[in-house]
Amino acid sequence: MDTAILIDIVKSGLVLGALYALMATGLSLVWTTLGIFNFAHGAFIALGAYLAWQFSSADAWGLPMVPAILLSCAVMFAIGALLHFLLVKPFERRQDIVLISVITTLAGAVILENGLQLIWGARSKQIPPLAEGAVEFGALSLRNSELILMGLVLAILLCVGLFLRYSRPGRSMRAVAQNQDAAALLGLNVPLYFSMVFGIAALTAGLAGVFVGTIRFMSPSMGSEPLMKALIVVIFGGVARFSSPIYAALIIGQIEAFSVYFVGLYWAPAVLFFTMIVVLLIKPEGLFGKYQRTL
Amino acid sequence: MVDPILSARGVAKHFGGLKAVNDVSFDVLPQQIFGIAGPNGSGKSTLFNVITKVPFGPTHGDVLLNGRPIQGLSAHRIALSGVARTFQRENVFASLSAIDNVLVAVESYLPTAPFAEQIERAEEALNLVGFPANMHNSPAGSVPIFYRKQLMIASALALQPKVLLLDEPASSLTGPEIERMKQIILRVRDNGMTVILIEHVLGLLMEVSDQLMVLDQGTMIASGDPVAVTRDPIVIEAYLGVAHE
Repeated sequence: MDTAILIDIVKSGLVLGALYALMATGLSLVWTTLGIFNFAHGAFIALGAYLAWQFSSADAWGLPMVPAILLSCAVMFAIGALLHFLLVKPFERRQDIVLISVITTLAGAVILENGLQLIWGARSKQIPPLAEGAVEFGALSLRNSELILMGLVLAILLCVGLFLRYSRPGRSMRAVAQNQDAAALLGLNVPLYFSMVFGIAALTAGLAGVFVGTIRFMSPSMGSEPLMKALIVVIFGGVARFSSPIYAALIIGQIEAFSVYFVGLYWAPAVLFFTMIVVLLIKPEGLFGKYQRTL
Repeated sequence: MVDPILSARGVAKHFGGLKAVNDVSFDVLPQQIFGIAGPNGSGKSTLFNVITKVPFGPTHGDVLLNGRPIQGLSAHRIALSGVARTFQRENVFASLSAIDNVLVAVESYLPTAPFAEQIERAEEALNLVGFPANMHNSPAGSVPIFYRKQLMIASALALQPKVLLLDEPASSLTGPEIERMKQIILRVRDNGMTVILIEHVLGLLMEVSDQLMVLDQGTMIASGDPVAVTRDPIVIEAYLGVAHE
């Protein structure tokens, strides 16, 4: 294989991996804390993109990009917390919460996607790239927008990780994730922390949506495929620690990039699923997972 | 006459037809160590559950703290209002350091205090139970059982509770560790707190309790002076069964 092609594939894999890491982080955060999978996560991705478009586009509010993204982050956090309150909280003490939350979060996804279609229409939209131009490193050519995207994803994940590790709410969230009853006995308002986790998950998903919106056309169902990839990442990496899906996303990104080159775009998802199944057969708790959920 | 600091009035918990706790009433006086004994399944831990509302409240009945009902409060509000509890099993936050475990409680009790003061309070609570200073930064899941029990108590004490509910703190401990646990319980009481103690290690329970209540099948069968209670034929029957000729 030509070195230039190899470098190009690895670069694509890195960009994909960075995006998947951001998408999967929120999904994993909700799982490790609440013990449920949020199937509205894909709709959060789409909603984040549409909000950023609404705030930044010259055809809409026309705010500069940075305030537009910050504003969409704030709105996404509020919507995430609200959806937890409406879709999950009423069922939290039920033993079949995992099954119920599949249905309620799927319902949330359908409502959000149809809401997007109703408000913004089915016509595709796109957010302007984060930057123009490219930089050359020998045989490697990297678009500035890709570099910024990878840098921002790294910074966002670092911020979330530091927040969980060193901040007061982060410490409390980790406590709630590990033992809800013990956390309540130490005075923590467990449902409030669950809402915050949902808010943070929606915020990171929304940011992933913004980045996707800068490189692809947006549609109300644009989150469906990323949701599937994020699920693969979380299951492949193991639903245990905050860092697990990040490592897994980088591996999945590379597998997808190489699969697209060698077997084509349509067979690449099959390769991902096959890899995931093989990993689960050998290591059922996921590649970097542990049987016990911790944050 | 001293007013009780914590009272239960006709507290019951039913699971369908099973009466896990059945109309239990008692008063606990300030700075008292109130022991609760009973065979397995007698409803002791369920009583703690309904007092703290973790994970469930009572089917009916009232729990009063300083004369005020607390059953209308949510679980975390009950904890912040002055009723702290430890579990029978060592329920620590395993991936957090020992001091972070206690800080979680300090931060919820004193959310606006400066971080230096919060750290100071956490260290005070750890020191009160004698948790080794060189293990403050160890992951809680990696410390031995006795230290995890100390950590649970320290976390509860960090809430500055009026009443501390200890659920079998001596279970799984060795003889010398049980003696150290006894000293911790007495020290907590000497620091002005009231302790309600569930314990299967009867030696410990008898040595520290000012008053003893015995439950059997969810019902209170005896209450009063510990020595008198243990000589009560009904209590002996509950523990040993009826002798058949």
